Amino acid sequence: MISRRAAALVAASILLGIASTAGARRLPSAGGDAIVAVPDGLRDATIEAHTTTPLLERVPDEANASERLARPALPDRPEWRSALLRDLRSSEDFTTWTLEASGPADAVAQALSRCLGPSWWAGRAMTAAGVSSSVSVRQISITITFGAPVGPVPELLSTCPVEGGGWLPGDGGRLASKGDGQALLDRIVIADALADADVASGDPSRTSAASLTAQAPDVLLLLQDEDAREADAVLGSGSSTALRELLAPDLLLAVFWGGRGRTATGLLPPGLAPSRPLAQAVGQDPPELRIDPLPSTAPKIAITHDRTDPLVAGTVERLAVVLRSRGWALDEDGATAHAQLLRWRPPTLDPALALLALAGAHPDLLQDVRLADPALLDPDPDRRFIAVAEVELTWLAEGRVVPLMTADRWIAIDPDLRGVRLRPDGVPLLHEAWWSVPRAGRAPQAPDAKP
Amino acid sequence: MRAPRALALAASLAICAAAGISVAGDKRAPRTNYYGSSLLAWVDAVAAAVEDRAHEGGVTLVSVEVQGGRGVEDRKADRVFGPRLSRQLQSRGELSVVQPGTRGSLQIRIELSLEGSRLWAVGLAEGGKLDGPAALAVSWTVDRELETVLLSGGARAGQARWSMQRLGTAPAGVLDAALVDLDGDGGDEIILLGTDGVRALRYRGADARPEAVGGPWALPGGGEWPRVIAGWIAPDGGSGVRIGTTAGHAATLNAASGRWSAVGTPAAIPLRQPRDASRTAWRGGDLVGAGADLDGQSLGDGLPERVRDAVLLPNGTWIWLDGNGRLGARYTPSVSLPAGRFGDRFVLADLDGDGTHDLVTTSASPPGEPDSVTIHRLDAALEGHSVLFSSSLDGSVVAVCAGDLDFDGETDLLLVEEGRDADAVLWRVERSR
Repeated sequence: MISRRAAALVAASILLGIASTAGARRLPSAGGDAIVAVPDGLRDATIEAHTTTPLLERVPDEANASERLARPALPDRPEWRSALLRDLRSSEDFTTWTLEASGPADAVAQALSRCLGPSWWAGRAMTAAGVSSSVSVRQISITITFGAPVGPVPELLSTCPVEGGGWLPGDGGRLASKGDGQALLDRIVIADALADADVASGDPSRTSAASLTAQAPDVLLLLQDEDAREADAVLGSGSSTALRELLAPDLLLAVFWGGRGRTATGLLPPGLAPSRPLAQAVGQDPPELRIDPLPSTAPKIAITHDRTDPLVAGTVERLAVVLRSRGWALDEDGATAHAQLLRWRPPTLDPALALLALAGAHPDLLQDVRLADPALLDPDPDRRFIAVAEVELTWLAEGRVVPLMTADRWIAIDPDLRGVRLRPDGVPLLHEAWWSVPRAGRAPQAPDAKP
Repeated sequence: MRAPRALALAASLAICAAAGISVAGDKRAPRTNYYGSSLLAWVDAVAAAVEDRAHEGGVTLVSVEVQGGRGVEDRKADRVFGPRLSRQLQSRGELSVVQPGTRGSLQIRIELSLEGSRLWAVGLAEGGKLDGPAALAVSWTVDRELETVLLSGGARAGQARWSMQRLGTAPAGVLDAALVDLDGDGGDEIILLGTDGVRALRYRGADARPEAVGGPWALPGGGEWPRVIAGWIAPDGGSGVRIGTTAGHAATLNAASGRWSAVGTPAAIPLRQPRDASRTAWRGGDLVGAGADLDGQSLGDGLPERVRDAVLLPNGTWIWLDGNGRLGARYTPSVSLPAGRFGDRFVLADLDGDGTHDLVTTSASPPGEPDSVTIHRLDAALEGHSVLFSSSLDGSVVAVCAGDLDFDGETDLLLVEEGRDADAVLWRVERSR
């Protein structure tokens, strides 16, 4: 009898021990390294995101009371919080914005000048809107003066990187923790190859990992210059709906992107913009594709694109078939019309700013006078959206932009790596990442370092 | 280039300030009391945006089509938002809502969707003097009401549970009941026709009891016979009800003012009609009876001599309960309705949310005897039926009607039960999610 009790006691102790160990493992623990694989286009942004601090961050809708207390919001703007600012105010006419830094203001002002310049999406958006800006500093107060009213300044500057952050850049894409408590991991290695990566951006082959999907997907857009629109090679007197039917985006997504995405009918993808009715397609059913030999005199069109992106390259190949069926050759030499197949990754979740940023980066779009509509920078998001929806309608009707498909933006994560976040523009953030199961004996190597 | 824009903005700011409108995102001041309903407030803001576009287009006729986008059930957008928007546009008094495709009208297509914590109504207006398609957008913070009424929830198909809840009591002598949205808040008020007149009750919340909000308004004088034995009540399409009694009353009551106005012939009985998919098909009844005309439409041969109750479906099909308590139908070739003898009243409404009519009958028990209520599911072609719910009561069901009692956008069934020497008891039957 006693031995049975003793055995039960021992068994209970073992079970309790296991439970407490498991519980302990769920708590964040420091240490370890992580390999992050991102496409070339996100490499610099990923490094910058970890070696800098964003000027502002939006308080998540789902943040609970303790989270809101831990990260205090700006006094007059409870939806925004900042580690660098104490206050953010605008003049009544929204032409002057005053930022009060919580520390030395010079670094913040320097970052703002850069972000409002041509190298950053916010600056390009302002260029597209025809709004000038200047930044001045006085002690801890920074003043931004715009040439016209700008309402959504928090949205415009939210991702602006300021010196700081929990990581120090090193060679070969290595980032080392500063050890100041901001980061839990010891090291991050930014790699190109997907194999062995703990965090992989858009890896369709990774099925056993946890994944995070961004709120808004990428959009594959065909931007046509004026010659291409006049020649009507791409739409061929039909509607963009007919073109998409011939293109079969679902098949392209299944082959090149793990089936993650769908046919796009609008320029602004879901997650960035609310559902909205678009102009109803008027046109005939698309003609069947015919693969006939083209005469040497056939007109030529050039479509510039990122050849390293398999989904984009595959789509251009299919477009070539559609164009050939219409008597057009896809050829850069001697092309009389030009288009660009763009995988657009909106840099912000504000539809109007995203559209302005897109226009600011593409001269053909930048020429549109509608971009000077002050409503695009109205403080009221509803009014901004009305303005952006009308620009979208016009661009779609004119064929300046032909949306083809959306492609989900997601990262695959090792299930033992917790706390990884995804920025709206697809950059993985490992500021709060930690290993739930210690990775013993794992050497932090850059992918180009040979053993 | 900047200067004209700045001037234009400054001018618009000055105009807005003078008009009391904030450009910082505040919506227009409410034109009506929304009774705390965020749905109605949002609908009114959308109606104001539609009016703005109609003014720009120089038209007074608009057609509105509403559908659900991300996160919003299409069915709910169509049934909950669309009819309220049409009603709000009409009640604001500047526009007339017409069918899509009507010449000279502004066509507006609206999609509702959820983005983050806000619901968006984004519309596209075409027609009139507008240069091209024009957008409108009104977003609203999601609260519990909007979440319940519009957002996608679990599918209501398949196995479901029905619940029957006792709501409270009302004075005895109820002859008929109707559910009418008197105050335009999106939820229906209970209107009871009794031997002493008409009274209005409001039901709010699971824990609340119906509270009297109007009446009793005594029946108008001039009845042809002294005693009221039976009575009928039906919404008149606005904020009133129309009644008819065996004593010869035929009148409309404006429930807002409590004023009666005589209508129709003394023998007229207000006709109840089923709620169609948009819940807006309640129209004031007209005379129904053997060989009678309805809106100039002859019922012709084949109608029984005595009709206890009848409804007209949107497709023109008549369904009635004859003098022997048997169901019948016209203008549908192969209709199959539940057989047997039923009580004086029946209801057609979509109670299970599947888009087809459900038929509610009561048993043919003598007054004061225990009764039962049965909900039959009719298929879309009225060629088959099955029982969804059946329950017994202690007394007799004197009135039965359908509407949205609890503000969830779904149709509830209201039963009024009376026993011997007791108050009337109100019951709600609804399908549980």
